[in-house]
Amino acid sequence: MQQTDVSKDGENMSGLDTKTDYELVRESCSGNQEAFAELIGRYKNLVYSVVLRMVNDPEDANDLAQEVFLKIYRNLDKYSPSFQFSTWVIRIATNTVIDFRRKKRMDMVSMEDLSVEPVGENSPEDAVGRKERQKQLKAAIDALPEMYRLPILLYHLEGMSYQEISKALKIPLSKVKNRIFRGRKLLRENLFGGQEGEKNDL
Amino acid sequence: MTCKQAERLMMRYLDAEMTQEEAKWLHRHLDQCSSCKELFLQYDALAQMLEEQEHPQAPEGFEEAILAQVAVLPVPERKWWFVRPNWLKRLMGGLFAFCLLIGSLLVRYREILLAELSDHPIFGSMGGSLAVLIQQFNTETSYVLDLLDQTFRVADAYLQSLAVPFALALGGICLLQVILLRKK
Repeated sequence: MQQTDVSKDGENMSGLDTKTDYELVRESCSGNQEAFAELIGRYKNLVYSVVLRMVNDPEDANDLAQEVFLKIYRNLDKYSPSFQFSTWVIRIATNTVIDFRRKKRMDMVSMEDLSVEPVGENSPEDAVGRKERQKQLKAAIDALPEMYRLPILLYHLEGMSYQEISKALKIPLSKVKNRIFRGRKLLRENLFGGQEGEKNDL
Repeated sequence: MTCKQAERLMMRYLDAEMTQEEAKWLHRHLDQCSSCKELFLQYDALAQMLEEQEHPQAPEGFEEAILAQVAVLPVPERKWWFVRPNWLKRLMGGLFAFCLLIGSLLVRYREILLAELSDHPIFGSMGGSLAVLIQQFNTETSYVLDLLDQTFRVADAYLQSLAVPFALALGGICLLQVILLRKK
């Protein structure tokens, strides 16, 4: 990872990747920029992919992801190691996206989300190749209402556990499970049609 | 097994938490129920597609862009003596309570302790000078000590009758805290 600053102590740099998130947070608070850069490096892809999947526009996602890390920086002193850093990061990221949508008046979009149209007439097995399947899956995920999309992508695409999602979104565990189950059902119906080839409304 | 139960088991499969037993049950149902079999194949395909999904990478120069903006911000002042790991907070709370207990016991039983100490061969001589100090301390702070002694006497009097309900109330509060914190 390239650093823009020349580190004052070369030995310090190599030790950074073995430090825990909490240690990096404390060092960042002492003004150690390399420590904060290491933290960014560890979580930038997580934040970017979650945000991208929620807003779907790479430019917006980039801006939002940066804003997330700025928020993290400003609130570093509020982080407590009693929960995982990733949980805290996800919480800030989802709140940032919600604020962004509110400002952009994206509330109307969620009404459209409610009608889950089958993406294509063909089932993905008919479709040619992996790329096509990925495109269809992406469209199906985008079509999910945000309430289901977020837990699904956190669980299946970011590999978080039910517990972590529950803590990050401040939702009880049972709700997380229900939303994931419901999300899976909707995805399946969208991609493969209902059972016996029927179209299912929500 | 109903089809609804079967679908719930399929969810366990997607969680990668299915036990051998559950796998057997599901398999048996799928052998008999063709619509559930179709359903399962669809869920399996969905799981594969989800696994195949590529992970978007943050664009190049991400860290640099952020660090540039961070440079103009004030360094977050971490009052880290306020924010500590939980175990440290608990330890300090416990230590404080412990010292308070020991301190009050020492004050309460200081005369008995001193009497015991003066008998002891090594501490006896020390105890002598200590006794002088204690005398001085007594005279200078007699008012406070009298108050304390009075409190202890009153407490002793009531302790007999109040001890049990007090202990129960304390225990109840502790239990409540544990329950409330668990829920959180």
